[in-house]
Amino acid sequence: MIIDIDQQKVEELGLNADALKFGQTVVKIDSKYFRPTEVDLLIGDATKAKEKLGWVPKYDLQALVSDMMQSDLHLVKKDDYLKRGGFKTLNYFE
Amino acid sequence: MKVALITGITGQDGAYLAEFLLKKGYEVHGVKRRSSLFNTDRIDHLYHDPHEPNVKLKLHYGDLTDSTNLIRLVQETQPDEIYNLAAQSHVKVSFDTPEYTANADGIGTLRILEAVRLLGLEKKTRIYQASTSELYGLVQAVPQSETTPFYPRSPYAVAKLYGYWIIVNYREAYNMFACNGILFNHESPVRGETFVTRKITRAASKIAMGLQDCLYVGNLSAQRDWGHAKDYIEAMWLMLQHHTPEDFVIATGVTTTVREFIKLALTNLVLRLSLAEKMKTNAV
Repeated sequence: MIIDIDQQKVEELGLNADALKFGQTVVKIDSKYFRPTEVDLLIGDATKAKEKLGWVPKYDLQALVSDMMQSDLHLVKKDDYLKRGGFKTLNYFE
Repeated sequence: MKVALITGITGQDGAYLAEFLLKKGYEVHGVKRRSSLFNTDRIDHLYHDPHEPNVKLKLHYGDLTDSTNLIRLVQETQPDEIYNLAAQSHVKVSFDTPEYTANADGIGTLRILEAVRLLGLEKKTRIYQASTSELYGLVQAVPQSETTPFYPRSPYAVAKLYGYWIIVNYREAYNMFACNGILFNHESPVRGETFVTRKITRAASKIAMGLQDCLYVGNLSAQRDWGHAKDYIEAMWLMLQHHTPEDFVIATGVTTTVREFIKLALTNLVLRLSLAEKMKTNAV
């Protein structure tokens, strides 16, 4: 549920301020997405790769999410622009 | 100039790896399945008209379920390195298509190994196999490393278990340079739209733009070790440059719930959420 909206960021990012409402439920659970046998917890130990290959990740989760959000916001704005121009955009719901 | 053959080049990892190898000066051959759609969105920026001179990225039609096709592709391209990234890679979908998943993800790996062996390229061609953290499934230890026993929990993971062990077996039986990269979840802006992270970031963007009201998800409490695909494809390459063929875990060492990922995605924009207290009513 939305409990706060950062108005400054709404303007900065060019979002649709009218569409965002306090108290709006934005996430719901649909059991059709549950797996018959679930994998609850994965956490890897990449010590060997670090020691033998010199590999360490450059992105942390925050940087990953930012990269994905920036890209998706851009794509959604493109869809919005096309829609307003009278063009059809794809749904991709599953 | 080194030659690489990438199966699954139209996927997230294939696209990043192709770009990475082209920058390193490789000639890159990619295998894609025939479809009436192009399905080359992710490599479009790398792809040139094959009629142009000195084209370094070439695409071939193929399928991991087609042995003779794979033998011919390996024979024609004579690769120094094969990256076997092609698979039916969606865990939930594997419950709907278990036989195909076993064929492509399990026996497909064997077909690559056999193609190299039949053509007498065991000494020349190094093979990277896309193994997965899903092999750990019902985890037997926390955190998971190269020595943690596997306990697969989906047709996808069981198929990948065969792929893992047939790579190990061919390495030991025929001295082939074949490695498993046991990669934990890795995401990016080009992650498939039906995988949970991308589904979340797309929905968060749509919600913020007023184009969607609500995001529907499954298990919010699942915890995953999420890294960036760009980092992980570099590890694939490093494994094949190593002096001996070995298996490696690639992960960040940090685990996060799906619930927390959703919070991060939405707060990355403008929203603060109150989570969990309304779980009983199915709303978050």
